[in-house]
Amino acid sequence: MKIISISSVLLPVTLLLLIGLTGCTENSPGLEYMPDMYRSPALEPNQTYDFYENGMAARVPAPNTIPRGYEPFPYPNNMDGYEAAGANLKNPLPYSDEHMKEGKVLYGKFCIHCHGKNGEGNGSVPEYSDYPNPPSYKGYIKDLPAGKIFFSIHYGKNLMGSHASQISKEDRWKLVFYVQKLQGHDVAEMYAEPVEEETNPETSI
Amino acid sequence: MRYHLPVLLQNVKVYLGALSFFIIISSTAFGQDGETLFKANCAACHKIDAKLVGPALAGVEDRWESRDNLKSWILNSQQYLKDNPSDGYAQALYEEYNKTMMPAVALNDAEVEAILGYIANPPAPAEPAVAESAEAPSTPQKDTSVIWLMALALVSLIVVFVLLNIKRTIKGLLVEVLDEEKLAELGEVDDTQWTRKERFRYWVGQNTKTYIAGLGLVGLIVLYTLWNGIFGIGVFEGYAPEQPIKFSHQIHSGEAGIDCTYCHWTAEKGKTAGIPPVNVCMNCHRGIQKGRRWGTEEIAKIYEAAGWNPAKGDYDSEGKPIEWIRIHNLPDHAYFNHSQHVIVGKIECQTCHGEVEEYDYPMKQFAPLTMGWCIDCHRETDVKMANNGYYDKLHEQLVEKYKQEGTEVFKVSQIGGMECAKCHY
Repeated sequence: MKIISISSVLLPVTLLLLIGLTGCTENSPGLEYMPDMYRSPALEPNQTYDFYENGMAARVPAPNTIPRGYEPFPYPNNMDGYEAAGANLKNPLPYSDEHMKEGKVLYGKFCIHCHGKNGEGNGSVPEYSDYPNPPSYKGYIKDLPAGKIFFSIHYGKNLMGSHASQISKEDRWKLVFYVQKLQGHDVAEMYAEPVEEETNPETSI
Repeated sequence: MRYHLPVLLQNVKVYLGALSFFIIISSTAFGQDGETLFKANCAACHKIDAKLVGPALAGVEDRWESRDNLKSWILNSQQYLKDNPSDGYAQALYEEYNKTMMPAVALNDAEVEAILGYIANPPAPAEPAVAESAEAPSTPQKDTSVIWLMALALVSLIVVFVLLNIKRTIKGLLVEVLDEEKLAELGEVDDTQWTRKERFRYWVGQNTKTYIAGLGLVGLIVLYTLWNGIFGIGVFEGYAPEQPIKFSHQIHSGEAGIDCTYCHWTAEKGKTAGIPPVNVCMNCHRGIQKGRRWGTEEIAKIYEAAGWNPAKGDYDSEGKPIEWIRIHNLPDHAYFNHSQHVIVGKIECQTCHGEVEEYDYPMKQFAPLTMGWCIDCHRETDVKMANNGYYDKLHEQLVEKYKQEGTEVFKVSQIGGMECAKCHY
């Protein structure tokens, strides 16, 4: 009798195991060993958290909070600010081949898919989709000053969105070097002139 | 074959003449020229049928008082505003678009006419997107072999059941015809009056070896499944959940050629690779309003999350967070830092995430992310120390330390990549 009862228990158990333990399916990660060791009690980035009203663990900082290392950008996001930036905003970084090289790398990550390898506005995104081609750096913006280039990356310009969240301030200035090179300028020579003494570096960044 | 040279030459002349005629025709042809000019000078900000950065241009001629005004506006809008402070329409337009100035363009009258002609009669849009979306969205192939095996097992069970029944019927007939002795001669007993249990015990008595072998087999299967199951706990390889927005890495990274770090830039700066905030989506999708595969349906979800009103061309509502389902998850007691691997270690994204640029929707977990998997890589991978500022000093020290072995290439394990406290602290 005992033998029979063992086998009649074992069979369904086997079946259950087969179904339950065959790892994860596409829509469920499967079994977790001690989930409390996996799931942090402290909140992780991009997590939901029902305690707050909108369910987001990440909080919007209190009004007027500034991040560490913040430097104000004194040019407002309008045409006046654009013109003022073009006239007054200078590249605070000294020119070096190293910066140019880094600028090229950054350009390959953040700009190339729209503006194209040579800045002619024929990047892979406009070629692939119905996104309009951006203007060529060698066209009517070939003499766009550094300040306006920086302003455009910072706030975005026309259809281009702001890239301030993705590219740090220093990296943006490195990009300016490379964009000026693509405009067809001899950038080394451009920055070889003695830097004007009256520009206050703190406000010009 | 022979050619008659003069005739041939004459033919060439005719061809050349016709060719040059067509070239002249096509370069002066209105529509052709207008389209090229429009794309070069206007298309970055204007669409004909929809608002982009500037207003939609369909019917623009009807909105202006005179064609000449419109033309001088196109050529130099800033100058036009100065010269015509009384043109209410132009001034209002300037205010409506946040005083954004159209850059002055160097075009002659014929070229402006060509552009206006193109705007008035745009060619019917050739829509490759529609043709593509007609293709059924490729659904991931599910592994159906288990279901087939189960069906096969069920069918064999039925067959066995039927055969047993037939055997029982025949035996019933035999019992009626033959007496006990004759049955015993055939190796059978009269079990028609027995209960099921009694029959089973008799069968076990007769076939003990088969019975034990069968039990052993069942036991082995159970053990094997348990063993495998235990190693599957906490391993989420192949996990590919449905996401709130059908985002295809294949389209964005593979086909449109966007670098991984454009959206996941924090992979180079910090611990997590990050989920791009919706403003990064909007960098392109302000311009791309219709997707290749799912049309406007999925992109509309981005607009909703961003609070963007595509009809108005403005952010006019609060927006709401997109609740992406997290796929890769390390246990809390293991520390992993992306920038350490991507920048310092110079590991390609694909090493751990697979050929993501070829993954369509939904995204899946490529690696098992088990400790064994981490350790294997730390054992086998040479640290890229050459021209790597992070390792200049360490490399010198290591070369000195391992002078006897004479090795100058080091594995991750040799620089502490196997220390417990490297990841668990």
